[in-house]
Amino acid sequence: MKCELLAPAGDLEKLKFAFHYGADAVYIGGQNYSLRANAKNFSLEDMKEAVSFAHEKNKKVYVTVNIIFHEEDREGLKEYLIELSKIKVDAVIVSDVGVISLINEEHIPLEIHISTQSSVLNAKAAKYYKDLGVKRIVLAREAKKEDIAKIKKETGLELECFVHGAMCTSFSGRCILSNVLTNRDANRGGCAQICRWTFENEENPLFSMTSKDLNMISHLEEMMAIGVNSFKVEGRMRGIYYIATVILTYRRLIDKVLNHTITDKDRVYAEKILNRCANRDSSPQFFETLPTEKEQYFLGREEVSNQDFLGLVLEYDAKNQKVWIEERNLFQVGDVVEFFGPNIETFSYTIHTIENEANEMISIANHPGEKLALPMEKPLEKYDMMRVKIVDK
Amino acid sequence: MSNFLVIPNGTETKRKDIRFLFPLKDFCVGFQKEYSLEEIPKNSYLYLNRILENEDIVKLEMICEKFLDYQGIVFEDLGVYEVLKEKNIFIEKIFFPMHASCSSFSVNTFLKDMDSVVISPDITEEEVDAILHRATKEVSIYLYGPYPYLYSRRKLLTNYAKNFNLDKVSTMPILEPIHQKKFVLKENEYGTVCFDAKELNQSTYLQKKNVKYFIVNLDWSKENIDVLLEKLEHFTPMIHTMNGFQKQKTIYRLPPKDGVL
Repeated sequence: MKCELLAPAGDLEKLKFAFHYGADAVYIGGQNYSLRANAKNFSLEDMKEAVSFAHEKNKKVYVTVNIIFHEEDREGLKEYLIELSKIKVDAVIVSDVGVISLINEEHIPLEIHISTQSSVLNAKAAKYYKDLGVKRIVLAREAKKEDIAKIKKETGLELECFVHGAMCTSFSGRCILSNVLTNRDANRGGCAQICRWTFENEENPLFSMTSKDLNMISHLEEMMAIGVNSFKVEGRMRGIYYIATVILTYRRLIDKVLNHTITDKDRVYAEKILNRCANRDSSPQFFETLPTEKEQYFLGREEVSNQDFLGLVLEYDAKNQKVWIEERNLFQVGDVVEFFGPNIETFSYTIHTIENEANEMISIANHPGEKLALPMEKPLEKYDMMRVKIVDK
Repeated sequence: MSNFLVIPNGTETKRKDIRFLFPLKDFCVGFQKEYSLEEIPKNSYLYLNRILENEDIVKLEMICEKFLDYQGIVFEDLGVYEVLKEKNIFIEKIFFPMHASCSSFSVNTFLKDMDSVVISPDITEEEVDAILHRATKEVSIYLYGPYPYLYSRRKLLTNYAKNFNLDKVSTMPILEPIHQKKFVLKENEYGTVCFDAKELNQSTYLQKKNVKYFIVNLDWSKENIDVLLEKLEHFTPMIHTMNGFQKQKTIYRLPPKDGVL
């Protein structure tokens, strides 16, 4: 199979943005059995629309059924899985072996992917799942380059690896701190992210175990060379700006790697864009070596709120050479911003005038959600975005 | 013969009815004391609790024929099962998926391949009863000992010491200030485990039927084995222990603002 760029989608809007900005596939959660229990998630009706939308574009939808089941959770599962098969989702992502058994015993026609929650790090464990009929493994985020290569070589399974986004401090599936401190079950989608809290120690400074994020842009060629089939971006709770920015950045890098046209300049630019878009620092984490103190935070949450997303393009008025946008964050006359989208080269733009829907000229846009027009010679498309100018390419 | 499977603490025992379970050096994390194969008495059980990398699997393949001298093995990585299967090592196989054996649904799937499965300590007594009732073979219970809440591949204590220029330690107590909850972190070269500062004590489960083994982990305990087992058998209250989620059901979907689920 070709190299797949796999995006998170917390709802239908995010799914459409993920595909628009270049994802080959998305992973989504239903109202039940998914590890983001408090996200908006998808009803079965939403899923039908999502799959139909994706398949029309020759793209794929994977559904997470990746909680660890308790006795009470099993009710309705078989019917749910049958519905997913009828909807023709492209695979289910599973961590509980009971779900695999049920699919096999009931002959439900669903492709099975093993979730990263199962923390597979070696070829023998991967083979156990292969023998159960699993088609793909989402490897543990702790997998080293050598581990990935060996698992591929020995099993031939499709391998999916995270390339970008938040990291657990723990092996995924091996933490119940949330259960203990908040009674919210981490392995059933209720994780309260206790590993991002601060702790006290009697003799020494404040203790924290918070991990920085994952960022694999410097290793994409190696990942392809050792047989990674799917490049996964974390973040079903993230907004459309994050999804658009991260997916477009990886889309362009992957395409350039495949076309053998990637340069160091491309990577440096991508790094700057991604670092600005996220609210934590990032690094390749486990791929080459064990993370050190430099891949952690020690003084609690050091996250920065991002207000770079200034506007979403609604329509381009070619006749009057104007672009209508929906404001998302404050901007004003004199600001230097940039526009980006899947079918344009990112370009800078200085705001000289701002027009509101009443055709009045205003100097400051400070009502998020308001529809505003900017003069624009270059044609733009619906769903292109305007952001704070980050860096010259 | 009782069905205690005991991780020893070096104290003397006069009991002839218990089996011993030894953490195997280089294949464990979070223990104070681990043992090489040479140190482990024949006919006892081996414990491998790490999530293994491919290089560990190679080491395992090199030594696993020696496992035939032992009664059985408790392990937490499915790769171990595959190695034993491929090498025709027919010893008792007890799989401990730690947090991933919370229903009969999951347990029975593993029981197709394993001789027993240790059910997760993270579930209520009601859920334990349901599994015992529906399991297709006898399951095992982690009855007493340190309760691991988090297992990280990161060397959290080493990183912490380096960051603040402190002396490196392999064990460190920490406190979560909002809930005044104490934990203990233990690190070796294979990672870090965060435990409850109190040991798990589910001795009331000794009354349950259809249990293959009750695992008693004395890695932290200084008490004599026989004395401690007697306390467990008589349900003697012990300070510095807690009963985990026995009576505490977890939730995973937050209630809406009106408070109704």
